[in-house]
Amino acid sequence: MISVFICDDEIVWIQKIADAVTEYQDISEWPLSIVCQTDSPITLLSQLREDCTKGGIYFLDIDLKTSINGLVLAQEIRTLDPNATLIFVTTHDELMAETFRLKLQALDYIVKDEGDLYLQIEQCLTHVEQHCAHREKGDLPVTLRLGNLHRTFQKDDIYYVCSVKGNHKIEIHTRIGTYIFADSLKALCVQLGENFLLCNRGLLVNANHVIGSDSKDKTLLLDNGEKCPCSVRLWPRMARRF
Amino acid sequence: MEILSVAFSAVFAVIGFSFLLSKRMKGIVFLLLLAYIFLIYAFMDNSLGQWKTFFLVSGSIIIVFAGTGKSLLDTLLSLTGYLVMTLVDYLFSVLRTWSGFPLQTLYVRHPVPFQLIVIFIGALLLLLLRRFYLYPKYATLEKAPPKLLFCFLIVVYLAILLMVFNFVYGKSFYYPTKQLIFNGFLIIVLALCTVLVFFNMSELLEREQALSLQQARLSVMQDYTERMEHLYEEMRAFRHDYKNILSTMEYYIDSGDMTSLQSYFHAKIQSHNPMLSSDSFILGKLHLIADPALKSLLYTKLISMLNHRLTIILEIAEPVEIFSMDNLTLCRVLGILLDNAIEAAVCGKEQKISLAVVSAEEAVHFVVGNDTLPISIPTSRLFEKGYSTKEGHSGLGLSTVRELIDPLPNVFLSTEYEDSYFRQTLTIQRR
Repeated sequence: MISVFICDDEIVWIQKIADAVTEYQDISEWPLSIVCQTDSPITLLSQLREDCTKGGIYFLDIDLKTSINGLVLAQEIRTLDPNATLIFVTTHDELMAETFRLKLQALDYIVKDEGDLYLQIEQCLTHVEQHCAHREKGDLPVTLRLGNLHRTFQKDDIYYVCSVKGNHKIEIHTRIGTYIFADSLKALCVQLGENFLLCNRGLLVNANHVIGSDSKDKTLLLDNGEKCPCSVRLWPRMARRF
Repeated sequence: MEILSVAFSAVFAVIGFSFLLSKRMKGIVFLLLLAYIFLIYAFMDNSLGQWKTFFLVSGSIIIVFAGTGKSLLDTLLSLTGYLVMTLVDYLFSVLRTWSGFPLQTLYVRHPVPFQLIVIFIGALLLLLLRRFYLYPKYATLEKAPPKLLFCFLIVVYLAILLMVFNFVYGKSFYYPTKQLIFNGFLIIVLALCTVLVFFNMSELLEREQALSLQQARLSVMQDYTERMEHLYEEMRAFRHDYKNILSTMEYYIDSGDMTSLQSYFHAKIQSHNPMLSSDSFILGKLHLIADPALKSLLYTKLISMLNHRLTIILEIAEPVEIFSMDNLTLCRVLGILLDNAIEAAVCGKEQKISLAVVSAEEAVHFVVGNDTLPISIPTSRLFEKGYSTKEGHSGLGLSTVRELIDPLPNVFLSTEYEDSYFRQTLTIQRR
């Protein structure tokens, strides 16, 4: 059973959200139960402490008209329930998508004054369901931190990881982007597992994405068209494998 | 013996031409210079006589000018280096002849080590000059007006010509060599003093640059203030409207005329939501940014977005203060990221651009997003020098960003592209 919490200062919106969630239960087999619908963040937090909920879904308004606003409440929830799925319910003017995402790892947001609420909540919950299914499916993702920002990568999405010359940074190259972190290749190598091979001193390549090798310039060809140079010492091992 | 003396002269000149340059010379340019100078000394000595200095200097500075990407400053530095080396040579020959016995005997008995020592002293002098005197000035000198640089270049070049004439004509009139060397000595000192004036102008230039930067910032801030005042006026008008609307509604409610209230509500309020003009409203969010340089940069870029009629999403939730990154570098990096985003968003389908400044406990994040034409290559290739998704575009932007932030241990960048939305996140960790 997954607990759902709703906190909004207007009773009308609490009801609307609760209705939408109940409606979603009819079309999905996902076991959701609304354990708390309130206009007071204090009530929500005490309920949360009492139940010791883990991995709940939280619909939160930003402007709660109390001493605690939605962002602070979200931060509290994060500390109590680290795996919480946070969804902000907000008006267009208050919407701060990047702030929600970067500061609180909020998964999604719903805009009150734009489009159909039921449809938005349905899409949002479908997204959450997929996300959770992915999380349960064996292959653990890799999470890297940059201050308060956590980024999670599915191992399969990573093409290669290389170190940045001259300092302790690494670059992660994935299906959709390039990310720089402060970390060492060695530490990451352990986390990534055996599918990742060292092909020169500063480059770890995902073997699943290698489609061939070029003996002329000693490089591995990846399925996104990129090339990874191999060191002379490690080349024979790579050439044998690919 | 002959070849050795040629080699010494050539090495001497090459050191002069190359040691003071602001950046390291490319290998191929260096070899070309060496070959040219060697050729002049080895084969043209007899045919050109004293005129060889003229060809030597002219040819060399052309090579340096072309080899350093047409940098006038580097050409001037190169000439200065040569002058300093010549001065060292003169000084030693004067010392040798005037000191009489000890140095002269040393030179006659062991010419090779003597020459080597002279070269070594010259090179050391140049290196010290570069490291302690010129190195801190390079950045400002590079921005000196080209006209000024050109004038100084001409002066120094003319001084060298004068030196050559001095020897050529002096020899033909049978002036004593001592006299000629003394003349040459004076000319070189004069030329070096002129260059010194130029180098010392760097402080003046620096001050002027700072002043013009400040002036630009001031005018941006003035513009900003005007806009905010305008916003205030709008706000007042809005409040007035609002009160009117409320009192009309109150009238309908009091009189119990529900049908009129309904039609009034739908016609007047729902149809054209009395909104503040969002332009100024967006700009108002900049008040959360404390640093004036950063504020004026963001302001300028937002105005440019408004001029391009882009849909802007600006997110600044909390006051932003940045202590852990040099604000000039930050402004350069953000400037490039925003310029790229504006350029790309103009071609995008929805012409949407977003900027978020997220201030958290451990870090400040700048998120620049835009929709764009489809990109078909992996994002890592965007950082390559000279790569650009646009034709006829230099594409130096992102590689410059990397050059600026890679040495900084607490600054990170991520670049993502998904569903025709391009997003860059610059993270600055607080120390």
